[in-house]
Amino acid sequence: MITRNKAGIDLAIMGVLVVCLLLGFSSISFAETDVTDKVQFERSMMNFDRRTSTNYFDAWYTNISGEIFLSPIKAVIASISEPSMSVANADGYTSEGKPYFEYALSSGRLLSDENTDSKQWIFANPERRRFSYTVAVFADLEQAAPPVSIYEYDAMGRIERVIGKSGENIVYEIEYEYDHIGNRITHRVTTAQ
Amino acid sequence: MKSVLTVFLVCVACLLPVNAAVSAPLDLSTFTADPGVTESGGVVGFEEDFIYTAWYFYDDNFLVGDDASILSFDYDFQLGPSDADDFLRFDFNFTPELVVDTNITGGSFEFDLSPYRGTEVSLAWGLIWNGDSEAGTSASVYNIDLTTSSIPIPEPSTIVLFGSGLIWFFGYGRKKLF
Repeated sequence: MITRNKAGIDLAIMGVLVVCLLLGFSSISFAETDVTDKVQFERSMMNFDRRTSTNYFDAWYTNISGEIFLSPIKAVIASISEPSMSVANADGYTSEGKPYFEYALSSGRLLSDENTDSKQWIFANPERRRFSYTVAVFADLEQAAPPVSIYEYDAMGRIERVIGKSGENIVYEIEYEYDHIGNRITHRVTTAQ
Repeated sequence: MKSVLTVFLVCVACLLPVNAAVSAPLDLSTFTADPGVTESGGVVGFEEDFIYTAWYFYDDNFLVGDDASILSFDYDFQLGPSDADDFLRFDFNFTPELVVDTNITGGSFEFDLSPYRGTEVSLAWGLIWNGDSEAGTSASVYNIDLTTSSIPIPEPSTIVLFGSGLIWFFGYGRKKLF
């Protein structure tokens, strides 16, 4: 009797786990950073298709920050002013049901001043109404590499310079000077901007 | 005898079929005008407002006649004050064949319909909003003509020439020859 109850509890737990797993995969959750202010939106001429009653254009983004974005970049259509309208070719929907366009980066990263490829955005507009829309852009930021200290020694084995680097960037630099009997008398610290 | 034959051949040559082209205003009665589009006396006017994104004048079932050749028209385009990037389009079978935008204020356009004789096609002129917050752009399309290849009819002078040749042949020429 006890064994049967235990088996039932195990099954129930497994069921809950499976449901949780399915829910987890059924919607995209956005752990990325909002980089809307760090990108510049650009688009081609907006056009209209009379057969499908859709407005469409090609859109792309430029990274105007000093940071590096990781692929993919997602442009979420947060709102459309005209209630009768919808996004006709979304790449997916957020867990809140907002459509988004996904920009995959061939190199996996979008450096400063670089553009994404262009992607066509199509808005279904059955009543041919004028409209506006708001977009929020999300991306993972490349984490800065942990700083590394590089020591340089003089001919007598004393520390002459220490360079602190984060990736390719020099974060700080310290230079040491010694007197004639080997006492360290000065050090000059330069901090990179 | 030689001169008689020469005159006769010249007269016959004048009657040989020659393709004559006739241009006439296109019948616009089968076209549909969207709100904001007007048609009067063959002039189609487009006026941008704050409501819509596109204004069309179109016939999606335009039957191209068996003798149709060139569709031609003139156009004017005027951007509204502070407006930018709206444009006028001529679409054939839903594909833009002409796009008139910011830097163009007017011109003429021709499109060859002869490959589509006997078929139904879509003809449309449209003013398209480009996503700005302004209005007031206007455009007009006029002198919309269709050129057709007509069956040749001998001109009066040709008939006179041919007739006088025949008279000479049956009168003076015959007397002299026979």
